[in-house]
Amino acid sequence: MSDIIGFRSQVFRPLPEVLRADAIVDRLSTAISLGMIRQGEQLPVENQLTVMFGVATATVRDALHTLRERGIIETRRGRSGGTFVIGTPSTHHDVLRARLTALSMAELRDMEDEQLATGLAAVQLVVERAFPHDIDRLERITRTMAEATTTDACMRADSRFHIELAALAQSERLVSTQMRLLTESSEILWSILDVSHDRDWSMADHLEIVTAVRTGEIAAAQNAVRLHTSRDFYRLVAARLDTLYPIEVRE
Amino acid sequence: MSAVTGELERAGDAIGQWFTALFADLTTMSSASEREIQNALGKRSDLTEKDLRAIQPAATAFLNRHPVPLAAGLVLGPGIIDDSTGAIEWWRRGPRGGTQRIVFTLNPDAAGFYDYLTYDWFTEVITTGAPAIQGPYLDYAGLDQYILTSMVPFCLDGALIGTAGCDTEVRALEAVVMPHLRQIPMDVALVSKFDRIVVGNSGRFLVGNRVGELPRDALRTPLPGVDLGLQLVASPRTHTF
Repeated sequence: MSDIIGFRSQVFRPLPEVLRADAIVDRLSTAISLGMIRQGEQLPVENQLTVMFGVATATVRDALHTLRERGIIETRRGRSGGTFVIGTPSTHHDVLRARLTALSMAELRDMEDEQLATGLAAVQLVVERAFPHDIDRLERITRTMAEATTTDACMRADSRFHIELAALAQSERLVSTQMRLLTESSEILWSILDVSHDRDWSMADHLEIVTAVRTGEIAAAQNAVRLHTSRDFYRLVAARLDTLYPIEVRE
Repeated sequence: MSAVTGELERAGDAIGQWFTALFADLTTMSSASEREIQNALGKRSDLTEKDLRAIQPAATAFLNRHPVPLAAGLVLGPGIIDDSTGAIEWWRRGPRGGTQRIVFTLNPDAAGFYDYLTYDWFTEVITTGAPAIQGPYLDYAGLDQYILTSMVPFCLDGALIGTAGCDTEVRALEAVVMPHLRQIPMDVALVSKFDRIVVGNSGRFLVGNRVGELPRDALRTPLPGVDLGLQLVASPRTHTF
């Protein structure tokens, strides 16, 4: 039997329990921010979470404790008791900045690659499968971004567009992939963008994709996806580099 | 009438009967829900969200009678309970029997907002008063599954104020329809409005795809019974691997 060495060996690196609790807090917070777990919704019980995350009971308990202290969840006793989502997390700017700088250039590029692959496949299938009234619905959802007045609202509208686009492809797998990608990138992206400069081009990019799928031109739709994806990731790369390697301005 | 047309019609009859029975029971659930809400209201006239919980027995009875659908309930438009948001009272099968209530986010400013007013299963039924089926579609922020939604009108004291219906997983419906389609020696698909494939009996007609162009000798049979725009489309087999 051979050993798995080189870059594959990272799969089996041990996870410190304390980092696992943080990872659970991050995962659940992001999911609640993006609306993947709903306000008022009940979380699975502790035992289930332990099995699903594959961690020790104490780790799940630590994570839930942190979320409770932040006012994101609440545990009620009694017959209809359980742990419920009661608040929206506001992930600290520093935390998001740290997540961005922790990504290497290669990891960022790879994330862009996966986003691109997902987007290209989605628009091709949407052109093949969607009907005009589906596109009308997508356009209405896309245009709600014009009313976003905070970066959080922009982030939600942005995520919404990408998920609804994947949903119109009728592929559960593409939607899951898109959701995972958004949990990795969406909060970070909107932590470095701002409403006045970035909301309008982002929505314009989305509308260009909508227009292209409406006319049924796969090539045009895929070009619009390419442009939009590279714009998003160009900004992520710039923000990472500006933080890690600031250019000194000479007087 | 050729043997194949006969088989196609028999399959159409059987599938049409299944949908007709489903929609008849949805209508029964809709009226039972109305009675349950009226009981909860008593002499009051101000309908609150809490009153809607009273429909759980009607939804549960429907799900007990029909093993195929996944969830059932009631959807009210904005202006019935409060001016801006509507209300959804939706119950799904629990993991250990019984039913559990599904939470939807109906606040447009919140993450995961369920914008059901953009769906035909609501707008069409509430404007036409006729039953409708929509799908298959990925119900993001709703059930988050690949489903078909079936709806009938819901009335309270004679006023059409919402829709009552059920969600059915595409995979569950496949098990109902496929045995009928497999009897026919052609490529056959059950299609919803706009020729979207719901179930097909070969790799040529895959769920979610459009039927696309058909040869001149293709056949079409609208399903008998309740009119939902469902049809069977049959075409001579093209692939023989």
